[in-house]
Amino acid sequence: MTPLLELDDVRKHYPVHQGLILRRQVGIVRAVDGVSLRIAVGETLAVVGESGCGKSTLARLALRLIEPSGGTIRVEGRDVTRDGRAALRPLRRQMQVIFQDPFASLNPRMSVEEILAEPMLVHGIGDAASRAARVRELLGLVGLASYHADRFPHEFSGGQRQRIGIARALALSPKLIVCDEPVSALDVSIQAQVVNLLKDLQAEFGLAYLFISHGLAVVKHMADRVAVMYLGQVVETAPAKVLYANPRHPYTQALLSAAPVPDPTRRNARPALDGDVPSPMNPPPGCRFHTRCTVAQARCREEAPGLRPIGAGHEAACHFAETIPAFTRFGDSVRHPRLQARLALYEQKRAAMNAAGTTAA
Amino acid sequence: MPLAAARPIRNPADPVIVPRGAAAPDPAPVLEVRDLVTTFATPRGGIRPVDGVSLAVPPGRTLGIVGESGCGKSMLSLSLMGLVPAPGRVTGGSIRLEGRELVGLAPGAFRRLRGHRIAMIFQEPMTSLNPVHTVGYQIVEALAGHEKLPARALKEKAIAALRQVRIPAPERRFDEYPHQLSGGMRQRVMLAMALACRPALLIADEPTTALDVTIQAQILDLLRELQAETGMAMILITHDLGVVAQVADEVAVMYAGRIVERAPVAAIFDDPQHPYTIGLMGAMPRMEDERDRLVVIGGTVPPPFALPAGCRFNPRCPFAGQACRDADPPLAGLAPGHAVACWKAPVEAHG
Repeated sequence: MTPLLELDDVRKHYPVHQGLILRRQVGIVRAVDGVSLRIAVGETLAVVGESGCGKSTLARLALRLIEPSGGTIRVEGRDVTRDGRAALRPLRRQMQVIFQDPFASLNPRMSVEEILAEPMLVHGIGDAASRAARVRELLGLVGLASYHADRFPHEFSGGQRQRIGIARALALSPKLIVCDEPVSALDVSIQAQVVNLLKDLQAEFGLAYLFISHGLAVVKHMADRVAVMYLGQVVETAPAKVLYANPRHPYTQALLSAAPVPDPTRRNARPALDGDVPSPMNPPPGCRFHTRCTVAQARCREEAPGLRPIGAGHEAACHFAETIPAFTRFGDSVRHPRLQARLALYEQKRAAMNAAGTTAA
Repeated sequence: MPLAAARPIRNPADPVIVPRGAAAPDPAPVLEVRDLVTTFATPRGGIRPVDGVSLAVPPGRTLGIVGESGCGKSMLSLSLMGLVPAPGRVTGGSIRLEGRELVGLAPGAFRRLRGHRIAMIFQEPMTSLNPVHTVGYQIVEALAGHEKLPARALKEKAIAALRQVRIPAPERRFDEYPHQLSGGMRQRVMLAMALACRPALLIADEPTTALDVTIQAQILDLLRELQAETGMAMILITHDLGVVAQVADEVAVMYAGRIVERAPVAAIFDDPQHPYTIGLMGAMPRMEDERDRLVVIGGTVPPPFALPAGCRFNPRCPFAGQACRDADPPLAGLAPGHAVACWKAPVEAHG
């Protein structure tokens, strides 16, 4: 089947200049350097990595918001890499975006109704009455009330603002939504509401998500497949279950082991990674990860490993992907039975409370 | 009239948290807070973002304070530092640092303690560092405020502080500017500055929230090591329960200006009693989980000028009953070291 979105060896290089009058190029930041990804209809692909690894640049490339320096971007099989603004317009209806900061991405001078109707206006959809009806429908979809339409962004909490951002992304009934760190700025309780909402909407409308995040735990709850990025390149990609159960790239293993374990009886040992991500302007030769890798050998310093298949749907860019020690985070770490029972009771009571309609959930 | 005088003292009986594994409560906590109230005078009347908080931290121990944004945890830490912005001020209760009362202390005397006996690090190291001075200058500046030493000795102390937080080549870093450092290095510089005078208490307000997970692991590890080396007490404010599990000895859960549950860290994670704590545990995404849906706490934290009657959590609480709407539950002991402010606890019996 033709994938909804296909990136093939996509690159984005930014030249770095120095000097005001005698401007000369002193280097290139390889923000995204040869990334290939595919997203099928209704699928969630998560891209994870540390800040500066190029994941947000990748999101903007996928949306064709910035021009790629190389590679091919295909939407439903059609090459759109060289398309101009006019040709891209119908594409924009199918690909929408949700940003990290729900306040910065909503115009403070527009009411919620105007914000939600704007995409329809831009694309010339419907008349005033049908747009107003659609706005009410969208508010209902994201768990807001129709009287919210007349309010302004500052009147909402962070979680509600993110719901408005989601409603706006849904306005044109897209097939793909690029979610750039959609829950990173939210409290854990609100984060859970938004994660559940995104999953419900996906089930209802068959949406595909490109889910950019640095939170590995959130990704575990959202993604079908995961791609791990380091310094502009994908170093490992696999179905989510496989990646978390059997990561084969040392960087993926390090990321998983660095995430704090929510269990006070299992405190993390010494952190797996020392130092910071090297500058993308001057990436290390050979394998880009070798400067921080615990299992690096002489070969890693000279020869850059390509992404190669090592299992069903599982690819890793490591010379030693098959032979490095297996890694399990904490296979047996489950919630305490007492907490488990209490959570079940909580859920049961909450369902009853929602049924009684006594809450502003 | 001070607003605090008008309200009754709610829970006189349980000030000291029993550290996990400790045989007896420590006789001399570094910090002891009783019924602390911080009030902001507003056109809508006085609001209290911190409303009757009691806690204690023994030396060498870490108290984690968790809660959603708007629950008052940052205002609590500013109150402890004597840095509440106008028109707010501490209007009731007591803060004792190493036995010395801080409430009502003259600003000059407070300044001598701040940075010396009690220090704080913030979430965003870039905004807490001055971009036009070298990091060395800024650490020396912090030191010089408290210690009369010749310039060379100050520089040596500052370099030693940088070395203590495991910054490679501290002599070179001394002359660098904040923009030349990575986020993790900046947070290390903040730590060096905070710890340069060897404070008895460090308040860390979301110290790793802005950092990547690998850098976060390094900083948390560093905090644990430095605490073991110096024996300082620590208050860690965070909304990340994973961080709490990794670093804290005791945990206080805050909601709408109050502490609603307080317990040793193990009990918070396997025996949470307050419905809010239970909800937070369920809402936290876990890599160890197979379940796809997360538990949700409906609604949001009420602002301090629109608090509900009775228990402040009752409109969001699945267990709430008439008693919860009628009266505010006091923080009451349930087991040694474990206190909860809920009429329905334990929920199995009363829910």
